[in-house]
Amino acid sequence: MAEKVLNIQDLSIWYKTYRGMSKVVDHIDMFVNKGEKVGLVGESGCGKTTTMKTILRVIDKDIIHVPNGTVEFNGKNVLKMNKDELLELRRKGASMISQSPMSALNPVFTIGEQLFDIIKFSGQYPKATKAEMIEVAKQAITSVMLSDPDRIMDSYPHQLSGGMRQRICIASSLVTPRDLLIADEPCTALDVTIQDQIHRMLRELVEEKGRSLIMITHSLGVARELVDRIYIMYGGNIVESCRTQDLFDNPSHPYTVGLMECVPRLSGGGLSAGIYGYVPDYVNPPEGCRFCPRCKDAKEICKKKRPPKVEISPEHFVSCFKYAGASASQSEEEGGAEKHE
Amino acid sequence: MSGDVNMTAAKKKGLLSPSAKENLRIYWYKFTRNRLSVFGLILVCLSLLFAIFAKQIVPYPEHIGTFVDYANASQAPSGSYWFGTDQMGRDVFSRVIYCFRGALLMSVVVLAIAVPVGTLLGLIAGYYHGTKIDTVIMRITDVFLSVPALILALCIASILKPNMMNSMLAVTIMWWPWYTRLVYGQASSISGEYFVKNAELVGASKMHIMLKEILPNCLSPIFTKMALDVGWVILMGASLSFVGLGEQPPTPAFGQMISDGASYMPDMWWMTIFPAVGVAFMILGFNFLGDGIRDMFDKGGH
Amino acid sequence: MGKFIGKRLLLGILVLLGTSILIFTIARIVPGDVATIALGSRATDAAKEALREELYLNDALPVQYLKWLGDVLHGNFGNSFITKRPVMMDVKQFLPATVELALVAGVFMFIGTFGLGILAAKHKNTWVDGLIRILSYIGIAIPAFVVGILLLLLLGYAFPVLPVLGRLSSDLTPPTAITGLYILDGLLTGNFHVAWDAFLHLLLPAFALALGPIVQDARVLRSSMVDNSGREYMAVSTGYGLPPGLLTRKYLLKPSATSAVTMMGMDFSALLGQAFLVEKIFNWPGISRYGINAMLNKDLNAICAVVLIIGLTYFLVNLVVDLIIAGLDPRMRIGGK
Repeated sequence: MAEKVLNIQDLSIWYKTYRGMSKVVDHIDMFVNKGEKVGLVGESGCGKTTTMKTILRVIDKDIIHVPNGTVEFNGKNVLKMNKDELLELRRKGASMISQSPMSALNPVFTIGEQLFDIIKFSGQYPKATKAEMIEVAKQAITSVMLSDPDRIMDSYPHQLSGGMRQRICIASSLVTPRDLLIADEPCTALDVTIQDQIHRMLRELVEEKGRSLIMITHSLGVARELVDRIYIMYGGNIVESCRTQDLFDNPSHPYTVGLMECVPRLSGGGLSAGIYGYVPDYVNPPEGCRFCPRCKDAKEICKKKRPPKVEISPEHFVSCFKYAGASASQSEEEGGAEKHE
Repeated sequence: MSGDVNMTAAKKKGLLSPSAKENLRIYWYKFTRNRLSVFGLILVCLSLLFAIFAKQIVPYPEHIGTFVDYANASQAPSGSYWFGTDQMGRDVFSRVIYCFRGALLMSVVVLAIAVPVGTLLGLIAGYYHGTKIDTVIMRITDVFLSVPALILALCIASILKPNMMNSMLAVTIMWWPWYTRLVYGQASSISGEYFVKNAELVGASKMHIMLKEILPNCLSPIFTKMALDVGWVILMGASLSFVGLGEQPPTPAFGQMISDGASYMPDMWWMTIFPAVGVAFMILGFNFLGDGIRDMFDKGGH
Repeated sequence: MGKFIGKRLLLGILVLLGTSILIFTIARIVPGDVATIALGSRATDAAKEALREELYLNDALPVQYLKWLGDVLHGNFGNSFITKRPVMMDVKQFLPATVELALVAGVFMFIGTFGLGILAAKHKNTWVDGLIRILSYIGIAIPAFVVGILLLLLLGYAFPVLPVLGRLSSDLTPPTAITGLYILDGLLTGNFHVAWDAFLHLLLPAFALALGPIVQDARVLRSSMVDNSGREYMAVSTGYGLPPGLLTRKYLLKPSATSAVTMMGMDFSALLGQAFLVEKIFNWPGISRYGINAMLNKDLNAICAVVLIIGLTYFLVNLVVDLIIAGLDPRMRIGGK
């Protein structure tokens, strides 16, 4: 069995809101092997970013509550780390490319200054002089296809376009490479041609150095092109996970099927039926399956009970009652999950 | 992320039940979410009661005027004189309660004149954004804001005959520019919006556009500022009367009582402390109320 | 940057001209005969006529203003009705004391605001934060002149630990005037005990002036820091493993300081106004005490001079504040305001 860089088990994350606890992430399991590229796919607001930020523990502890679950990074539980271990994790373990380039850069410091601090405190260039570190920063800027690194180093974020800022975000995550790179929809504001180059760069980085990648996206096409394995997330649950090819050969969860239908095809055929409705209310989520209100195949049981996780083929897991009848042991597992409620 | 979800949920709620009653309920919920706002509302209501029913509330109404009772002069707070008596034997409690009336009257008069004048000028300047009208109005506003308000108010009040009317006049003259500047900022950005351009296209009069299209969108900051400003007008009135410009003796005013009491400090501390508490009572009340009103108009969900 | 300052200076001169029109008008619409106000009702008609001539009162109002402005631009504000000396001489005598007081109060304001604001933000939602919040309510509710009286009585008379009246103890002679600021002059001439004594005299009035602004602006800084700490760029910077101290001192404080500095600029104007009352309470021989006495005695020439000087000071303070903000936030640098 391959070595796991990241292993999330039974993790729930709740936001504290004035209406009560918003149960945004609900009992999810997920792992990333060393050298593996994993995709996390789902609509906006389904808990992808929250989960990823929890890996780095960068959400203010005053606004979230983690009732259960573990997040193991290289065998150590991130949720129980002390300050020094956390710094070590953030400096050498994992880094994240933010999904919102417009707000991810500090508005009152130059790009150069921000990059410089990241390099200086990463601990990866202990003996470098200031000039050397600046050189490293310039290389990082060049590596994301931005010309004139000197000018960019002296610029403030508001002087750059959205696409440039996004590439700066990518550059600052790549400038000091870590074991795990989390890319949170890194290419939303970029031209298709540049998207392609960035994707190629990410792939090279991972494949050359044996690092791991989590690619968050809502585009199945991007996922297909880039990653080895895919997790489909809906409403705070992982509803389906399998190898990329399996997913496209045999999409099994009704939500995945709906997602597939939403992808416009070059061959034409008009727009799809899509998936009707919105993501659920997290303060009072549906009692049973969270996808139930929007599901075409919903039955009575879906409203009342949480669906079990079923392995329909090797490494292909689906959480849906459609496949629950397969074996008796699955329903026992479901009983175990009930206890968490 | 969760914020977005809550927002959409809240919006849906607003769409489902757009009745005025529901809106009031939401406003009340937002207002009472902060306990201090409710506390402020209570203080303000009490201040109003004190001001309106001063004569009925105070134990010694005759102590407001030229009353002398040397037998009971300079007494410390006691059962019969809650806040003690001053050097002439007048009941400090009665006089402090009476000050509420003058302070409230002043803020009502000042804001009743300054707010409409300032708002109207701000609307005109904002609507004619970038024209000569804008420049003239806003530069005049700048002139009035170029010297600390208290100093110019002191100037005007001291040059005129020192009395309540003139102190109100002085403060009013200093107060409208704040509203002009506030409304100008709002109006100049709103006047570029599509709904205003639309109104122009269908031939609405300029008056109609300013009052019916632009003004309603400036109201919530105006109301918020007004609630907060009551406290500041009271403070400025107290500052004026502290140096003898304002309500003239024997009628009491906060600043005047504090100033009188200061010469008898620290032995007769009650002569200074209680009027100071009175001022603090009103300023705090209106400040908390103002914060509550701001929260009420606040669109955010948290 | 130079263009920005030049534009502001030009606008400032324009506004100051407006201020001079305003104050001159106020000083001339005074009810009653100006000459009688100045000289008293028992003055001879000849003396009154001479004064009318001197103040250009026989001309039309706009002409009066232009002639007066001409004099003012030459540094001549006329004679004080009360001290009978040229107003400019009085101003030169009293201004340094106020400058010293305002500077020290400004420094208190700056240190206090940042100290308490950062403290409250760091310990948000704890008793420290709560205490600072309560202090801020007290700061709003109690006017500076009441704070002044309370300090005067508490620390001056009840527990006499600090000197309270004037700029210097009566047994000391002021240091040789170089800047007119006693603390600075004392230090420059080596009279350290004089400088120390002057500083002690300054403490209470400066504190009375600064207290309200400190506690209110600290709250502004605190909420701005708390708001910004929830922003994406803070999460991102945290995620890169930057040390927590650096995150607070640099990445959080700089973008948060703008609003507090803006507030401090506005509060400094309120402070200049409150100085009129506080100087009176502490018998501080400054331009504000001179000004308030001029107002109470209808010393019109002195009033005009004092108001114009305060207006000029206020304009300079605003300019400095704008420059600081432009330094703090690069987004403010282009296109002036």
